Amino acid sequence: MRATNNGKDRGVSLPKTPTGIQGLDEITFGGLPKGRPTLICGSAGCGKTLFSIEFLVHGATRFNEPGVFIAFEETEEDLRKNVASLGYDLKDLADRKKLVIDYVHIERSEIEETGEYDLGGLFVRLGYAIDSIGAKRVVLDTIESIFAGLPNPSILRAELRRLFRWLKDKGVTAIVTGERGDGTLTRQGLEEYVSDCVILLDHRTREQISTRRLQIIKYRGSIHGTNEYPFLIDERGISVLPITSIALEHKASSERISSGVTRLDAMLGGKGYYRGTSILVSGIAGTGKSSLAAHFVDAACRRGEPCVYFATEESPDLIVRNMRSIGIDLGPWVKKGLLRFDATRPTFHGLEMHLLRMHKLVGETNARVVVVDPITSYISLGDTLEVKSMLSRLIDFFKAHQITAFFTSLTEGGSALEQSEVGISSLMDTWMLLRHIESNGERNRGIWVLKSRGMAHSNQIREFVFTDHGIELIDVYLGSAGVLTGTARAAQEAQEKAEALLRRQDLERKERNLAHRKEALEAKIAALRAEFETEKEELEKDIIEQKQHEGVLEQDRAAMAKSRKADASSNNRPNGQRGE
Amino acid sequence: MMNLKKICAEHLANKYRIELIDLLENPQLARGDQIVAIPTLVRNLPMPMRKIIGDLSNTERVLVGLDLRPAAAAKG
Repeated sequence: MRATNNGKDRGVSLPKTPTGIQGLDEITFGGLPKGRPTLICGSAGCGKTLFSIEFLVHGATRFNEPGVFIAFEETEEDLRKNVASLGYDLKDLADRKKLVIDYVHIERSEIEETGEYDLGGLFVRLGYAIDSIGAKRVVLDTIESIFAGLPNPSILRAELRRLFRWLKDKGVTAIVTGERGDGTLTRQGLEEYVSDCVILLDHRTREQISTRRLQIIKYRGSIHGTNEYPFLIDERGISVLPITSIALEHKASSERISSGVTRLDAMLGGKGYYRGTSILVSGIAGTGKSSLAAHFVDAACRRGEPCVYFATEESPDLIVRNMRSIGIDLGPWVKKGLLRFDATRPTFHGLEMHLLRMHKLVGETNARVVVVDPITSYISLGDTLEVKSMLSRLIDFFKAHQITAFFTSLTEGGSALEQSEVGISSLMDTWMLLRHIESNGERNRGIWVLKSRGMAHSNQIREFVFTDHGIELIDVYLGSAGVLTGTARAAQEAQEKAEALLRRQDLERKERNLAHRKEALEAKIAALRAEFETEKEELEKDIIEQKQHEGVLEQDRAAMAKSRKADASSNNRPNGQRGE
Repeated sequence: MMNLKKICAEHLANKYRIELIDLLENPQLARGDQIVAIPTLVRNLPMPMRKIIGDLSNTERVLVGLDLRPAAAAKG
């Protein structure tokens, strides 16, 4: 959005009067110029009168500014009836002197012009009405009617000029409505006189869907949004959709919140999504996108955070029932008011209307988490560019309010699964893909985290399984045949288990073997040792005996020698010398 | 006002009554009679009501407005 500053110093802006109309005060950065007239033009039925009435009603009820409505086309009674459905009690306001409605009726056929005249009567009425309640706001709807009723346009133009000067002098903030002309903003060229602020209302129907738009053509002395803003009229009046971010100035939170599935949090850097980010889950029908959404919402409600679930294809009852079958009960959250469902068919109204509706609901509920399931239903409403524009505005809005948004996208089956998403996925911070994996006559589901900004995420596929206590993620098998899931995985796992068992058993057997060998060896050693001991004993005995024997022999010899009275010298002789 | 008196005297000969209302003194009456232009001469009787606006300088038109002369004759 481009904001234009019409030459005035940015720091000094003229004083403004808040309109109280939702969204309008934002785009005008404060409201309409105070004490000046604003022109609202548009074709019949585009909402000029309603805008004007709301301006006065809000002025009277919220800003303590009584107002005067000069009606040229509807009687007081008509006006009261028309706005009663919005909950505006004009009679009550009149009784409390907060509002005066003066119906000015100029019947052409009654009138004959006979000379110079002026619109003094109108001035008198207006002045009287303003003074009687101290009005600060005035509406003239639609003053161009005087040109139909009274002759002499040049007098009328002069009087109009005088009227607007008079209004400025009175210090009232006025809205003047005008009917759209052919090629001009208003039929009678009111834009010449009312040049402080000009707002154009438009009501278009395209392909059976009607859209209302508002554009600030001019706002002298103030910055303002210059785009066309869609607005809707519902049972509470007018809501204008402002584009919330001028620049990409969103704050980035570093808080992490759980996805509701523990192993998925593990895939997402261990902690889950960043708060305030946008998350996209793509997949063909039946892959489990809504279930992931339900987990996310369930986790948020457990934390006490209000959630809004925009269901574009299935009814809330159906969703709640389906989720129960996998163990997620959203019913209690709905009862507690933490979870709000909104199921509106996308074809019900235009893109902008949906945007507006979402804005309003999120604002009412103060939701921290929003689900749009699926977002692809809106694609039928406009061309890709428009849808992308709507999406980016939606995401902008969520980010600006730190709302974590979870989108599901239904893709067609086929190989171009990921390509068709590229446009939308570029707006998202986290993108997950749910896909069927077929092998061996089976179809299982797998989930990938294709991207997740700002965190280290797993790039590996996990098998995605529905159990009666929710979604579970299981590691897939990466075997030589590729990814194995489902029973193939189970089979492979069983096989591996068996092999592991065998190896273990083999190991044990070897260990036992070793133990035996050791025992045997030790036994042998023991036997040898025993043998050795025995031999040793015997040998030692022999040695002792021998020694003893030697000892005895020696003794004997000595004794014999003694008995032979041999002396020392005889000892030299050998034994043959004895006995002569 | 002078113009009015003159026309009345000339064409209505005592068959009229003039009431002068000053809106500055009685502003609320403007609403009731649906007065927008000033000056406005309101002819209440005979019915239908006619509003003749302007300073009455164009006598022909005044007479047409008062239904005292058919419109075709007055080309002023």
